[in-house]
Amino acid sequence: MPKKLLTSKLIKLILAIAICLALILINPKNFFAPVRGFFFALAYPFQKTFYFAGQATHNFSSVLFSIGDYKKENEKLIRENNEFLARLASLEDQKKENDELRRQLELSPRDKYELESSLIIGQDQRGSGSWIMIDRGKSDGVAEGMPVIVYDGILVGKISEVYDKSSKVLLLSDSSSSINASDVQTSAKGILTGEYGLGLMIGMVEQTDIIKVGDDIITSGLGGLMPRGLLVGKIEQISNTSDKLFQQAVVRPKIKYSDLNVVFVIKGER
Amino acid sequence: MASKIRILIIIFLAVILETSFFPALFAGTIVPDVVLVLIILWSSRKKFEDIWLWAIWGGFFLDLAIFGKIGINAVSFVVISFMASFLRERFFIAQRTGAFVIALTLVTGGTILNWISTNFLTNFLVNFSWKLLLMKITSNLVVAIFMYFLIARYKGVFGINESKLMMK
Repeated sequence: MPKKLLTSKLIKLILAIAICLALILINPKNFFAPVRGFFFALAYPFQKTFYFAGQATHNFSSVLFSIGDYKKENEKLIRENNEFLARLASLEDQKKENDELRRQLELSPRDKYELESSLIIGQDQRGSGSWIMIDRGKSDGVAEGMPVIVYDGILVGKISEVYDKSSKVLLLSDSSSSINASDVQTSAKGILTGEYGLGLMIGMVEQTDIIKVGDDIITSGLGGLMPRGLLVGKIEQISNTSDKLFQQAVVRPKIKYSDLNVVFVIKGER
Repeated sequence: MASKIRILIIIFLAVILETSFFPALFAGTIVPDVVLVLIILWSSRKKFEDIWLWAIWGGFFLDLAIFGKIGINAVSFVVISFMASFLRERFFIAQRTGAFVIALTLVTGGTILNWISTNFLTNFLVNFSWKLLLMKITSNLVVAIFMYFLIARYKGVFGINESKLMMK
């Protein structure tokens, strides 16, 4: 009797594995794109609600954990506020200087683009910084390949899949992400790729080009919908490829991708 | 039919919890495998014959939600569900008093197996880290403890019929 039970069980197991393997095999034919679209249409309100609930719980627990520090924090803030008031006057001058520097470094001005603000409603549950999901989709004019930035013109990724009311943003740190980039200070050009969610790497930099630790990396604007001048990060470490043909460098992103709440999709230029 | 729809809704909500609620709650850290824990806890209380389709649905929904290759999590869940169910029937059936510990042991084993299989199938263990694995086990155990008592309290809702298990 136990032997018979095991046999029936094994048959079920083999059948289940066969179904799964069949599912894996028909993947490349994009067979599931409509199913995924339907799933996200159904999941959209739940994702939004659950994500906000998660954020609210996160914020609430942060407040609870830090409640003891509030008194000290308050005194510190009052002191700092007085200092800031004094500094405010000089900031106007610095703003003008900053705008001039942006122009000189050819960084994109923030008001140059038609932006679609969007909230994050989901992210890579493996925590590997591979993708995020935003609450804007086809119905909002979002299309595949559009760059996604944060408020001050820092690039975080590009739209890789679009659904009716939501889209998937492939983050720069994903291993399949690849964009043309250049060094602001030396104009050296290369290809910026993700390192399996661990960071960024600029490669294919010719040996004759100069790159230095601390240099800023921006998009070079070559190819695709990616405009020139979106800030990516700073060079942290430089090395040569194993064949010594090219230079490569580890790039530290300007922002932590897991802390994002709001992003902007660049739909086009104004 | 109503119970099947209810199970599908539970799996669907577990997927949303895993992909939207927990990533926002634990921003940038480890997110518990809610669907995997649910499947293992089900497997520790029901026969594999009753579970295998749920495991496929769980993996299918999860693969849809995480933009993964459809079938990767499904195959992992089916194998883990089989092993959990097999171990329970072969070795743990007599130890009714230790059901809670057994369930947690199965969750620990299942987490390790799922971590290795999905990492291997998706990026060939490039990101393998013992520290992350340990954090994953801990977070899954916390969720499992909560879920264990939730299932015990609402057996009917989760499609559990304890008497079937005791008759074996």
